[in-house]
Amino acid sequence: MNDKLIMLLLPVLVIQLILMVTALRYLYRASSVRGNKWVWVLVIVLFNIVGPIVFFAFARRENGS
Amino acid sequence: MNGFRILLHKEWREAVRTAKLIWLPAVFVLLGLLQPISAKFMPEIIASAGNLPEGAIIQLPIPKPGEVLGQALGNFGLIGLLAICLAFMGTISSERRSGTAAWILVKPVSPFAYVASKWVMLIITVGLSFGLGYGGAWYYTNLLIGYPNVGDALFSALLYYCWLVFVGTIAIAASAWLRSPAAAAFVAIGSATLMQLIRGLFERDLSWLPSGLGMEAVSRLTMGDFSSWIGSALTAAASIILLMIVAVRGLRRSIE
Repeated sequence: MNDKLIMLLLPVLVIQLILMVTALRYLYRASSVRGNKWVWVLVIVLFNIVGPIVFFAFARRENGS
Repeated sequence: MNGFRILLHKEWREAVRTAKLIWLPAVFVLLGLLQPISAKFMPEIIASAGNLPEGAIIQLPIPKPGEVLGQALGNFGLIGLLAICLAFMGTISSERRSGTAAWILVKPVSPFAYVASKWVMLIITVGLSFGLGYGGAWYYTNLLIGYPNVGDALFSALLYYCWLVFVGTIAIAASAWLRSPAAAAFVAIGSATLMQLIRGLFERDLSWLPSGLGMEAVSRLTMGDFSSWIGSALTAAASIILLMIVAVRGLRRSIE
């Protein structure tokens, strides 16, 4: 049962990782974001799903990203 | 419809560059996959997480396949809808503030083509995200719980997709009128919630509200009752056309 659960959770973890890495890559490349970059790193890494959503929604500055 | 294809291409490029086409589908797939998993393993999750007394026996009925898919739709309606509104809240207002909108509209481009390109991008993005998320939920439900009725599942997905697109259209229209993106997201989420609330309260008289689309999709899957959806679909279609006109007008006003 445990092995099965891990196999099932693997895609979930992979997608979570994709989401996190996308957000972090975007954060790294952005010349400036609203707020502190290190705070955003914490938000993205610590809050599952919601963290990256909030980052993509609110961190972007209109001029130059 | 001058320049529609070019504008659509621009929207596409922007969606790729802001990673919208990655994070929005990822959110939907996560929501879709987690629902069947948590439905299947809920007893074990409770047993391992809660500090239950020794020897406690938990018996939860494993839900039916349709119910799980309905719950997944419910998740899409909460977090997914929030994500859609957040993704599209600044679609016009931020371009207006940065001057991109004015720069585009001095060219021989009709404002309608500009709004339409946003809307088509909404359809594509939501379709991709919702399609993948729902597909994932369906696949996992098949794997873990059982086979739902294929016709119902497909039809509910179509209805729910229309509901998501409708709320996204509200976000675009609000974005054309309001200066702040957050306000546009608030208007879209707020009106969606309000409509669902009103529809729930006056189910008999106001079954034609667009929120009926989403609710009908869920109740068809979970309870298997088929109420009318045509009224809601017609209202939603009419409202979408109206919202597009409103958006074009808001855009015109802001340029002058």
